[in-house]
Amino acid sequence: MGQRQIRGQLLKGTTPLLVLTVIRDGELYGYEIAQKIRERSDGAFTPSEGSLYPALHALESGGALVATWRDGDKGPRRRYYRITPHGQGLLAEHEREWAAFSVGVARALGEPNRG
Amino acid sequence: MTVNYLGLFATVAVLLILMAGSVWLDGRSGRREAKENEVERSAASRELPPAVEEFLSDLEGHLDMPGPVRAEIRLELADHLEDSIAAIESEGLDQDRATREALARLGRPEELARQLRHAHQSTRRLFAGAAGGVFQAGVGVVWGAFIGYAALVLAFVVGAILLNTALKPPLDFLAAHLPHVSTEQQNLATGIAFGAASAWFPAFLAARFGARACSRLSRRSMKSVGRAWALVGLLGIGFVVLFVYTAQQSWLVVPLELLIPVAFVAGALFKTGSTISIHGGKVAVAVAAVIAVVLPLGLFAVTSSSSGSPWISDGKQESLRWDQVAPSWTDPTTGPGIVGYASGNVSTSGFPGVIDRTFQVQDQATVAQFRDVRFELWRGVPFSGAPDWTMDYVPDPSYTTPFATQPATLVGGTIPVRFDVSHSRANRWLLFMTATGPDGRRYRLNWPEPITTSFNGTVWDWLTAGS
Repeated sequence: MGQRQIRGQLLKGTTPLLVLTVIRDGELYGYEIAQKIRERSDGAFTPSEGSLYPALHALESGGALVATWRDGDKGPRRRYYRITPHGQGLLAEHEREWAAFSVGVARALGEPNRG
Repeated sequence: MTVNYLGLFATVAVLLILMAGSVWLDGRSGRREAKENEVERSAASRELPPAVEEFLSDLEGHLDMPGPVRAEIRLELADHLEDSIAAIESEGLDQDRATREALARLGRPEELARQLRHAHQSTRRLFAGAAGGVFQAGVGVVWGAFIGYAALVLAFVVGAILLNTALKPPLDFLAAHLPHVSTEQQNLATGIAFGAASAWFPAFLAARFGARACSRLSRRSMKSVGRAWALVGLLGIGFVVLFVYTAQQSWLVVPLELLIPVAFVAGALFKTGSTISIHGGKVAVAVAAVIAVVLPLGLFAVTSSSSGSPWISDGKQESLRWDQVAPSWTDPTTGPGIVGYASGNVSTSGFPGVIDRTFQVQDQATVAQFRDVRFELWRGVPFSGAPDWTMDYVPDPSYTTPFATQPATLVGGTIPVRFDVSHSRANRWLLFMTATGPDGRRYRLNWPEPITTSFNGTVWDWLTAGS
């Protein structure tokens, strides 16, 4: 199994967390969200573009994001996503779960207790 | 007359709530549609590389969602691909390879469509769609009832004006050539027919409003939602119309009743992508116009008497074809005569289609000369040329035997007679009293009175009944 496949598997289920995290600071459109995730992870994570939009639409359907069409600062009309108060709560919940999960994985892998 | 104010208030309150809900939903949906139409126009005006166009078309083909949602997804992904291709090109690849790479990153269109459908079409939305659809169907029923009755009133007014003017010659022609449908006072066929016809509008609009709301709320395509609504409506309303709803059935009423589920199916399937404004859609106007012209035409044709032919009222028995049953008894001394008359009821409720009469025998001595005295119930047809109100029937020449017979037993100067015709579609009868005379021949002893019955039951009862 290659590095890309392993990362892809590890990313599964984390896309909503990553999306909500990068949108927390302001409105972004789909392509920008993918770029921000890549930048923040120093290129370690690039969410599959095929799963990014279903995740965005699922979050929008669930009320965590709202989307509006408007002209971009420099470019054409785009669909911008903004986090909602419900999305903020969901993000906090995801962060707590991720912290507990990552500590558990680190312990299982024999790393020093970071908690 | 007493007025049930509580019921009246409740009815008005429900109507007002339905209207307010409908106007609110209509306005909300109008604003959303305006935005979506703008997005659709943007999507349509976009020029994309052929490979991208093919990918997006393929994706759209797998998205079972409302048109505006599909257009929105298409436009968003087109934006994404443009950015992605530009970024890959900046890394040194030519446009073809950059396009292929950008498309590959999105994966297979059918898989992307599946994930997008999954993101939009939750079970919660399905239930919301069903509930919203049912609510809007209720609103459609109310609007449809208003439109239906308005159309019928319009039909009456327009029809009344046209009947005596430009349409008179062709109507006279139709009246002379179409099958005659009786409209005697006892036969409420036309009233029930109007009721059935006016139910088309609520059925059509209920399906249309309901399916559209269901599609929008459940995020499923109007095509698939419309098919589901059409199937459920056809089975549900079809079942009620065929097996549950009981009315006075006739050849005029049954086809109009059977068109109610058809109207529902049409509402769910016909041009489901387009909007019908509550305040006067083209289809509603067209249907109302057709009803306004066709209904009076048809009703006039089937109810009109042939005013041009003379009505023979001299009672000549030859012309009335009574001898088809048996020759009249002629007393050797007093000449032709009758021995009595019938009185009593033809039950139309409780025991619909039951002829229950009592034969008053005026000349018991004459009756005593006969043997094998019996009543014969013959199917009747209108006496050609006689106006409807006369109920003047003659024996139906299509039949050479009576519909039913019954032995007659004299009880104190009267003879009770009872025929159950509730299982027959025929509604015109002639009741004869016949008997075998001293010479061994069968004679007719009375002057038959025409009897009109009605068929009360479901459409299925009607279709499976005997003629």
